[in-house]
Amino acid sequence: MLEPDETEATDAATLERIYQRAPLGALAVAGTATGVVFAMWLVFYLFVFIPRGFLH
Amino acid sequence: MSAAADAERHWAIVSLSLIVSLLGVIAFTGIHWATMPPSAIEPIDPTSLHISGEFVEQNLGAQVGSDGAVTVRLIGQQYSFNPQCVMVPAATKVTFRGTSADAVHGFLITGTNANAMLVPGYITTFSTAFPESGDHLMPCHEYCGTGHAAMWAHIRVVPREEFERFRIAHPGARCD
Repeated sequence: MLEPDETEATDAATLERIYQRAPLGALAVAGTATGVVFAMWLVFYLFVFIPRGFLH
Repeated sequence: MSAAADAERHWAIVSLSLIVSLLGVIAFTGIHWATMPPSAIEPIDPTSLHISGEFVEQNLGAQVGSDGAVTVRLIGQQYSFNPQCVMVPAATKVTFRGTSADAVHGFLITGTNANAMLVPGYITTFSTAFPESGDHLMPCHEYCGTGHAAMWAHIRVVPREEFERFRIAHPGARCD
């Protein structure tokens, strides 16, 4: 674990380095969750909703 | 522009694309197959359903029009549907017209997209077709009182020839 003075010394550089990278972790989590929901919707639409016929 | 701002911009583009594609599918479904939700805007007096008008006893069940299309009329009431079982032909346009004599009832035909509400004072109507023969359960899916769980009916889909034979002997093609 870093001591408080060491933390202060590295904070700015660490934050700058993190900030310059895209938030890959957040994108991976949000992308996977959104992709799974969208894929489930598409599967139900194509293989359940359409074969069940339409109302007019 | 920072990588984080880039990521946000890309994510916004992806999100908007998903929304636009979903709206596109909805528009395509509605226009290409001319599909729409069941309508319930025709008014009717719920206090005289059994006495006069479209939903008198002899009109309930399946009736065949001059163009060969089939119309099914039914009433939902605490705690049953009338008729309890209706036979309809496969691969034929079937128009359902239903209403309620008391509370709001639900009306869905299992295994199909038919799903509507029967509201007292209004006629619910929609058309659909059943491509294959078979029995479909038709439960009430809108809580309507203590007997709600026991309220269901059946739609029996049979080949057209069998339907025509059956309805001669059974007015309204009632199979209950």
